[in-house]
Amino acid sequence: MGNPDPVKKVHLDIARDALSVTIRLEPGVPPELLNVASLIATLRGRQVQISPDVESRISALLKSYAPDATEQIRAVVAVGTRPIHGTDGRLDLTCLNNKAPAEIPPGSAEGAAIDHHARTIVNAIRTGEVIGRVIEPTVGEDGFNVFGQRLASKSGKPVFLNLDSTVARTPDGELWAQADGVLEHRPPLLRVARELLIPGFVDFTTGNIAFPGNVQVAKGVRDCFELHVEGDLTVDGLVEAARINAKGNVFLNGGMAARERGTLSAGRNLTARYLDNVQCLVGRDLSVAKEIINCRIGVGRKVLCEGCAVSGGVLLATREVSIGQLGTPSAVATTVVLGRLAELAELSDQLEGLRPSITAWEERAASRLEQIRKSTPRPTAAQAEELTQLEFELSRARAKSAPIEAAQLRLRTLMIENSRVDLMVHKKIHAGVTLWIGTICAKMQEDIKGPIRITHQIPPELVDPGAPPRPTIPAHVVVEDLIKGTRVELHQIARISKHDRYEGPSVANAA
Amino acid sequence: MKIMLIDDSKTMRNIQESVLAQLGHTAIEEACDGQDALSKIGAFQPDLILVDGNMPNMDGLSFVKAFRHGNKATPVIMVTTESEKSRVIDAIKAGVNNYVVKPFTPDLLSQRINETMNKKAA
Repeated sequence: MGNPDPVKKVHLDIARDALSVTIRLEPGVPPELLNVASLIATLRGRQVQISPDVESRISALLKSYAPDATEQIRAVVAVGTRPIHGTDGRLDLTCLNNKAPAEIPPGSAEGAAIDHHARTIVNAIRTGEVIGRVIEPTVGEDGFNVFGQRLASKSGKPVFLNLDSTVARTPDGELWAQADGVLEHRPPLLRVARELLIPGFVDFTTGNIAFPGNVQVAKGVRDCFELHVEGDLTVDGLVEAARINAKGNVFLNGGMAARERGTLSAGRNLTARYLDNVQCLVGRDLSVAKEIINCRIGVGRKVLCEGCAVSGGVLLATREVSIGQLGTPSAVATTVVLGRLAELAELSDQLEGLRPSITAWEERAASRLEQIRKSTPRPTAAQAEELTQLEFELSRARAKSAPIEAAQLRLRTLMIENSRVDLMVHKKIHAGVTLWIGTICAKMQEDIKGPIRITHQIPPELVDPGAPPRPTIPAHVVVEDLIKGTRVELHQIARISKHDRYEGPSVANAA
Repeated sequence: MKIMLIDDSKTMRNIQESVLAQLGHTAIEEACDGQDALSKIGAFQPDLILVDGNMPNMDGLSFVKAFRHGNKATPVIMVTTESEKSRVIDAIKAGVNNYVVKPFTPDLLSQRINETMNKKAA
């Protein structure tokens, strides 16, 4: 864009983007042209905007020009400003990059092994957790060229987000989780998903799973992996010797083969295709379609397994038990404990254990108090102090024993409310099966064809809710043939042994 | 409510503190005799004082007399083995608001504390 002066000694170059003007002076410029006003006039002739800066740059150029110069000199005499464009808004998520590296636990000995099971792909989010921030776009700054024309800037584009009720946005752009779950970001949607779907197996690709909502596993769970789920859990494939812990319902559509190593705990109901060598606690009802093989299972409420064969192991239930077949033709040891809530029984035992020491403490203080009172009608200062101390101890002992008694009464009521003997066997109960009913142990001596129902029928006049649970009277346990309509007492078909206290198996530490 | 316990017996102070804790009072300052109490009372500013009758250095009665010179409002309960009528009258004249005779039960102590505080509130 060079444009020489008419006398060809002064050249004016305007940059293509019009952001700078350069003056070149050839040797031998006529003296009448070597002044600021002349060069400004030349610039004005080309529409260049003149500012004090331009004038000072021209002055500097002229000062550096020597009349006897032999070479061309040049200087930028006018400068424009480029526009500064705004930056686009963006979303900074603090918890989306989630694959935790396998780490040696702090404090481990040198050379300790890394637990690769503990690697997890699940980055669970809790309510109230900050999950990220929306960075707002910035506005640009316009520029100007050497002609004084405005060069428009572009503003940044905002982030478009579609938030549902599980994510809250504060005025300053901070994003907070409003629900427990896992973050799901499919632009523009951002939400906390309360359900976690694992499309394959729970294995080394996923690591252990700990999730505050519901979890669905499309395939199975491999050996030694752990699932801790605060909602419901559904596993469509086979669960191997894993540790499963769910506070809600558990659905094992493919069953569980735990090889005596896997454990399962369901806070609510457990529904499974089959259970094989599982240690298991179920808060409410158990429902198994096909088989329960050599398992130790504690059930808080009902066992609803009409089509299921139970062979080997121990099954504890507090309410109705409905089973297809109980035991095996080869008399594999199979035990069913009816009407016993293990946790309540243990609590009751613990409370009962506390009582003697408190009673002894109370009696000791009362006896000493009585002794001092009788021997010294007018106690000395030291005796008065001792008496006050004994009164205080007595008061403390009574204060401790009162809630124990109240708790025991409540426990007894709960045990009676939750203890029901009602076992229904639809097909067959085999010889070798052991039934624990309270402190009575009944061992079946022969196979009995179903459907039969074993119930405990205490005459109403014997029921006293305030009394401790009495040992079950075998005469009140009735076996009813539901086809023939006949009734026999349990001791007529089973060998009965009475015990002072429950001595049967426990599943308290099963899961 | 801030309560000061004055008794030369640590056991008795512990018992009284436990009874007060059961009544929900946890702001408690202890003193082992009358002199010790007078040195702490300015900083603690109690709302109630429980004082033993017999103590070394300064007994309960002397403490009450000294305390009442400058403070007529804060209730004082005397907790003592002395149950003679004359001693009780002396204590009340000195400015004691209520009287508990040792041995006492925790219930009796809490009853006397409640009575005293209710009277003050009325």
